[in-house]
Amino acid sequence: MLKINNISKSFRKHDKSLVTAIKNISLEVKSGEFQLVQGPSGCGKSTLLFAAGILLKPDHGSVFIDHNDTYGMDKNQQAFFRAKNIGFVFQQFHLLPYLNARENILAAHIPLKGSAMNQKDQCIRLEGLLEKLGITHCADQKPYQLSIGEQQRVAVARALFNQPKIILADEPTGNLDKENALIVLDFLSDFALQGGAVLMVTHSEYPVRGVSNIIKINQGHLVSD
Amino acid sequence: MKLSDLIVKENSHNPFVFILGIVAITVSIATMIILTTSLRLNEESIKKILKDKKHQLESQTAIMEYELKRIMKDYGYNIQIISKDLDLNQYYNQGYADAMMPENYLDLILETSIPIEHLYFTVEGKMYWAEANQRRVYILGQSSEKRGGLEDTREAEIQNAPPPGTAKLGYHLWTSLGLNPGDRFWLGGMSFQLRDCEPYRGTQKDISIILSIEDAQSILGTGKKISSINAIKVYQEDIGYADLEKDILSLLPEAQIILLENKLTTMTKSRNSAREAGEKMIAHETLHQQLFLQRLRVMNSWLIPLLLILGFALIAFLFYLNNRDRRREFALLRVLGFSNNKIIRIFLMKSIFMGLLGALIGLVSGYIFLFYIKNYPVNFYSLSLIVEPFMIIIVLLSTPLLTLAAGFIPSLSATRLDPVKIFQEFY
Repeated sequence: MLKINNISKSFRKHDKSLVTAIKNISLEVKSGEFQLVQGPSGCGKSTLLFAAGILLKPDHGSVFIDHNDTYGMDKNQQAFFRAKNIGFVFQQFHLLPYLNARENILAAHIPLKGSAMNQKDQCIRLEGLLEKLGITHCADQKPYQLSIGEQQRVAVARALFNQPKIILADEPTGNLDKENALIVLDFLSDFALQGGAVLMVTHSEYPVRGVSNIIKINQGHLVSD
Repeated sequence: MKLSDLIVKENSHNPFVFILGIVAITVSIATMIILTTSLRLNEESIKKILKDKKHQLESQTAIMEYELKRIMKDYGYNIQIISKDLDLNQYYNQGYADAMMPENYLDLILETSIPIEHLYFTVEGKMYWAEANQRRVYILGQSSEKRGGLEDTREAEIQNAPPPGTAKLGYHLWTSLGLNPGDRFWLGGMSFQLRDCEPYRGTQKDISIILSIEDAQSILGTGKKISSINAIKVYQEDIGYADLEKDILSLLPEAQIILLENKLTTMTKSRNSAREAGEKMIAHETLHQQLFLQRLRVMNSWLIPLLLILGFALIAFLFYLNNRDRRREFALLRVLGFSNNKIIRIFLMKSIFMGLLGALIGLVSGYIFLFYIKNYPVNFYSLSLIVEPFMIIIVLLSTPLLTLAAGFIPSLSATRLDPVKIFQEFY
């Protein structure tokens, strides 16, 4: 599903010196797999995730998703491809403050306008997700009215709404208590068990069901997988 | 969920930028409407005032014209026809016309249809009176009145020409020679009976000898020539003096015409003076108003663009601030797969909507303000006077375009935000 071939990424710091975030990393996440990326802070985990999510072009190497060379596409194709095939979950949730939970989830579908579900199907899928994630009761509330756990569940629902092929999660349980963290991890595991691919950056020591591989990164290098 | 829903929700959640933007556009558009419409109304009002004044002047002139025409029937023009060869400077200096014209000129005038109340002619000249110690005298031969196409209703003759063989003597002549009416005297070898003794006048007439035309021609040796033709009360309806002069001169090519002063010429002069004064006053007023309007136009030509620029610069600045505050949101939209076009559209749809709404509110508030300051009653006539459909169309079309331009650069910068960097700021 996701195939990363020998990618490297460097950044120029304010003093013009070059810092290598990731170097010659290759990995593959197949459909139905749930892989974790672990490593100390600043080791390049997030850079790897953003590169996999077609948000950060590597200096060299390639990223294939579902056999598509993602960085060979133009910007608009990348955006559409990302909306259709990749779900993101972040530690900070990143919900739009002016939309309620229901609208935040539906916002994920706006970029697919014209090539996706009709309104009725959207409603059915939305209600299913709300129910499954246990957030039906707060569907009409704005993010500031939701608890931390509810906010992250809304973010997960948003990531799942377009039925992506892969979910990229960056410390999704970083701000959650154990109970909520386990709920979120369960959903990601379910997604993988149902044939999706999950690549999750985490420091969490909570047990994760169905993990197929743990990738360790240190100072931008793949240490083990 | 549509893109427009996203824009509406964002505006209602954070209305500061939206409301401030609308206020900026409203103030710009309302001020522009007030200034341009006031200028137009002032122009129209000044035009109307000037038109009324011109109309008033024309009415007064027409009344005077009517009065003149009425008076003309009573007075007519008094004209003197003299030889073209006569130097007018010399004529006014010496007091008599010594250049001669053919006597048949009189017949030519009589044959025309020009109505003349009194018509006579003269022969004039100066000579030394041999029989009275060579004293210099002024000889004036006068004809009796000539009447062609006579009507019974004509006035009595004003000319009392002496019959042949008789004479009238000026005051200095009859007093110094001790002559009395009925006495006889010799002049140029001819004997004349003194018919009348003229009273003292203090002019050349006091040394004049007034004879019949034939006797004067004989004494002065002019043959069948005359010095002047006098036409008194010449009046032809609907024909002005210029046309009259033209008609006579086409008939008498060797003549020139002098218009003698009478009540009619005095009135004509005063009519012309009044008209000239009125026209000068209107010209002065026009100039004054044009300068006033020019000043207003110059002020508007600076103020309106300045206000518009400030208004739209404020919008651009508000978008910039808005963009800065919403960096995280735009980063998220990019992560969610919003293309650059969609992100630009979020800005541009908002810009257009702000422009349209601001233009509408600006138009309405500007016109309401104009109604208030001009104190116009609210009715269809006032509306048609103040509201300009063309202006409304221009404002409604151009304002969204301008706000679109104001929002375009901030929208471009929103598309260039790097979501990775922005998200890392929040970790």
